[in-house]
Amino acid sequence: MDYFNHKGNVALALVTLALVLTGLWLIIFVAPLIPEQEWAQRIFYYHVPLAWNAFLGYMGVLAFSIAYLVTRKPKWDIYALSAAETGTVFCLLILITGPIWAKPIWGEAWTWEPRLTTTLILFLVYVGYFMIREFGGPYERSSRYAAVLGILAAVDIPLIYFAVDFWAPQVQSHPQRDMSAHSSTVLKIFLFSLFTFTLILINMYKYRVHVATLELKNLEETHV
Amino acid sequence: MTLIHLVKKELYHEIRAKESIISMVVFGTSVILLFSFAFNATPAEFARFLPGLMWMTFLFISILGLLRSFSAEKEMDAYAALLSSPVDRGSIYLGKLFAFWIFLLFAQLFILPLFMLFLNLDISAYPLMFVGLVMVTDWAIAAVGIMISGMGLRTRMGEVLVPVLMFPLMSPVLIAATKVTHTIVSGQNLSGTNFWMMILFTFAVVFSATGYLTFGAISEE
Amino acid sequence: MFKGYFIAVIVAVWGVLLSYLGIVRTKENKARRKREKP
Repeated sequence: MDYFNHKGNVALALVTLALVLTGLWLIIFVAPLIPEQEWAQRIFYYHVPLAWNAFLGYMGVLAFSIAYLVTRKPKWDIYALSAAETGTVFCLLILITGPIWAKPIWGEAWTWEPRLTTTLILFLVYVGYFMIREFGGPYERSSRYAAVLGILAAVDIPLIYFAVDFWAPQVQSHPQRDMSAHSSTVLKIFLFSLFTFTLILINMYKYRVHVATLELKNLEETHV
Repeated sequence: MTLIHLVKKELYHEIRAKESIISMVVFGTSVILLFSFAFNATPAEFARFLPGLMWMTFLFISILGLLRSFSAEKEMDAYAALLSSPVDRGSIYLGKLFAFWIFLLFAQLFILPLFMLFLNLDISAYPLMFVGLVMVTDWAIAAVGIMISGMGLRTRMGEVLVPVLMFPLMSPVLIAATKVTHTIVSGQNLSGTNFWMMILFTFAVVFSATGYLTFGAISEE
Repeated sequence: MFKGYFIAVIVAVWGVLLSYLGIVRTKENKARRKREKP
């Protein structure tokens, strides 16, 4: 892969790998075992950082989409696409890990709990984003449409969040909300994991940008 | 061309073609009938789901109406003509938004009495509040709808894309409208609805502004 | 207890992440092959 021709990319990947392995060691051997929840609680160290970083990705989509509509420079569209893909992969992971976490803690995998519901809606919105890229016609048009949708989606996020939050107050919140009650070790390992996942996001994003740039070059050359 | 002219153009086309409103009313009526058959429930049981069913019906008929809202441009290739005239794109968007809002309200004028007759919709507690709610929610639906159908217009699978894109985006609107309708129908205190009305207003304003700013990008060619 | 759920999460997360990387890698190879064609 000539992505790794660039030394910076190699360094970033290696650092990330080191953090990932350290993180796993910390979670398995150092993190306190919370009574009653035990190993299920440790899922929190993976689940919550995924959520933060998916959000980061989608904010990136918003910024890059606006930049693309304003400047019409393809690089911004590449950045938007890459941020959207990586953000959505993380979104999917939230939807997978959330129920796995909820099952042992609350007994049911899916309870329409506000955060997971919001994530599901978001996931569907971004599936639509990829659909319009796929079916939107020539690149000049589909990229523009995707940018508009990227802006609409991001602008909708706070509205979705607040609406869903107050939609079903009787549904118990995801286990994660009690985390603040626990020790500082939990917080430190959590922050470590959060940082690690941000780096994972950045690595994936950069690699996707690299490949998308190549794909776009092919597209431009066939149209000349 | 001012905004008023744009709206008038939309209205005249609809009055002549009658496509949108008729399809919306007929479809809406069918949906009500289907709900009655599908949920073989007593009026009391039904009351719980009525707000949700009502707004889902309006969302469905909106999709139908929106797909027709660019029919003039599509059929007569009038889009290129419209775009080459010196009209600001944002105004085209607002013109279509306002017109569709009126169509939707008009269609609801026929469908709401059916809800009252067949499914016991009872808004006597806060009739004015209900009208206000419908007007704001319709605007929110129109704001997003005109943008999405503007994109779906030139897209392969446009008819499929419009609902696929709209439904998740509209979830806060559906939630909020249903909550307020539920309060109105059950005659409870209106104080709890402030939050939901805020969500609807914010949604309507934010998406109208976004539409105004981005419609140029949507309608380019 | 609940070790199984924890392991499931680790496997799921890394499974999906690596799959995604695999997909991007495939796209890269496809794009490269296109460039090599005369």
